[in-house]
Amino acid sequence: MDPRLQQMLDGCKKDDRASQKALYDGYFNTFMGIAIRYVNTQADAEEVLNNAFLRIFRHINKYSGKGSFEGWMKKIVVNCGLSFISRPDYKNQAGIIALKEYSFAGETNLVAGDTLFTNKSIDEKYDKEYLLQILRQLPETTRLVFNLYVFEEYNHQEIGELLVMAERTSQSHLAKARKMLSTRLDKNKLISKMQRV
Amino acid sequence: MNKKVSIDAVFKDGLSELSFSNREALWEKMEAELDNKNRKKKRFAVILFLCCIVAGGFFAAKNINQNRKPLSDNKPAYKQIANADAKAVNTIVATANDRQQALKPAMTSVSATNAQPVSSSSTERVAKGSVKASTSFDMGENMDAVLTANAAAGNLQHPLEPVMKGISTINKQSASSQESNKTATTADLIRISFDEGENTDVAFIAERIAADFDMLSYASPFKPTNNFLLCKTQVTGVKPFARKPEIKQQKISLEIVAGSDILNLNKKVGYYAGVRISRNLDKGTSISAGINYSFNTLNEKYRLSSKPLQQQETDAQLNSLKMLRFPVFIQRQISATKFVVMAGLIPSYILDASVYNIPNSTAGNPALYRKFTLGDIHRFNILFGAGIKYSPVKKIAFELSGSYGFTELVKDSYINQSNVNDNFKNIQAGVVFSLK
Repeated sequence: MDPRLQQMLDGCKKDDRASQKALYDGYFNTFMGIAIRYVNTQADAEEVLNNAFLRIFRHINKYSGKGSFEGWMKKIVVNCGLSFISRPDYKNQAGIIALKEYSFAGETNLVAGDTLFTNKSIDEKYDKEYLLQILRQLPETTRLVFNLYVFEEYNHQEIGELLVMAERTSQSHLAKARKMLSTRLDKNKLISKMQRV
Repeated sequence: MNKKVSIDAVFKDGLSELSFSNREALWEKMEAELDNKNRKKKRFAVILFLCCIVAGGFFAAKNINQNRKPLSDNKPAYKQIANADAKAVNTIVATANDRQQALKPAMTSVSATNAQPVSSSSTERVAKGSVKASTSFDMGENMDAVLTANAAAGNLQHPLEPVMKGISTINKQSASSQESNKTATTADLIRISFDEGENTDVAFIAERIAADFDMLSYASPFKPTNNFLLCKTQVTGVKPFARKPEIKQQKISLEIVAGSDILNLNKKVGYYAGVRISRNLDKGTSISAGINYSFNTLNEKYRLSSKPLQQQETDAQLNSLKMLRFPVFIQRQISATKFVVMAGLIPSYILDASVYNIPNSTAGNPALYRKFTLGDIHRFNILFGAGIKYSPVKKIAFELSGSYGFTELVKDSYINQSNVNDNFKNIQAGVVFSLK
């Protein structure tokens, strides 16, 4: 393990606030990026993130040292995201989400609409926004399967156990997600742009 | 396939390394939640502690007051007590005949020399004779009480007398018109259960007497000091109350102890065995005294020449030792644990010993060694001992103790000749069996 990470881990085990802050800062963007794929608003993502960090700090002594510490934390974030969207009062707001709620660094005045949904000019600085937006337009279960398979690299058996479904169902959701995303994505332009990059 | 993989890659790469700007604001929120969590932990600990205290207090109060049922103002005392302990009361005051029968043997056991007529006043309780005061009351003990009249206060030698003098205002009950005329008779004998030791509330005793005695009321003020005397009598014909099991702390116990004994004088493991009597002084503290026999076997290889203080001609060598020890220890239990620490003095007496004077020139040739007589060594020694005892079960304990003697092995006359003349030091590890 990276010595700096080990130091943070040791500090967190002793409830050292500076170490907790360092860990929070170090993984904020990574975990926020995970959380925001599971929920529909930034406020929800923030809630998921804080819940996840609280759980990490509370149970950090249970981390045995086997396996990656980052992987252990990521699993907690994913579980927190799944718990959050399975709450009875959680509503899928994919259809009514406004992109201006998102305040990515340096893009506080981003407005959904013209550039993002017309697909006329996909500027690179909005790629992430655009991808996130069309990902959210997937049906919830399909999106979860896609998230877990592509981003968290779970296999279908693990996804089936986590979401209580058959492996074939998971495979079906994944195929459906790919098809829908292909349809909605201005694939040619984006891919060609990425190839240029 | 390539198409699908590319879709996955587009999203995976495209959504990697997102950056967000409001980290500090979120951390402040996070920090507040962490502080709140710590406060909750502390609050929970305080609440748990308070709950324990309250529960402990409630439990203690319940135990203390379980036989003191409060009397309400609108019921005669005897009824409430009879309801609470119907079996007991009925046993005593079943019928007048029963009481007559019950009293006969009782009264023979007391010196009924000053029989007095029955008083017609409800405040002057009926008395019969004077009796000797009994011993102190123990928890769970049943006592018989006979009402006496005109007993001079000076004759009341009972331990409760000072307490009894202290009450003068028992007027909880008011006499009902029909029952107030009813008075106790000389045939009345009552039995009182002392459930709470010597500190039993006398007001409660008085009410209990009144109830058992069919005194349906008593006037205010009721002064039991001059009206009844508690005594211990042998009563036959009256069924005893169901006694509570006595909680007796075992005061004296006999212990057998045995184990190994390492003596510094010959560095050889021997054994020891003995008996001792232990007596509780108070809760957690006890004193023990006993006798041990120890035997340290021959160790031919050991010579007392390990640390010569001066160049002398000879060494002393102890080969074997038979000794009696008389340890007197004060033992104290460590808090509520199973460990007991002990310390005390151990007078000891050497029964037999093989101690040799070994001239340096003859070292290695035992035939030339000179054996000391028992008169050349200190046969009586006093050692200081201390140790620890662990009792995993009630009857068995393990102990580890050490002792140090204040005198040297060989008498002063020999000191100038010897290189080494050690004091007694030994370590004992043994098992203790409690017999009683």
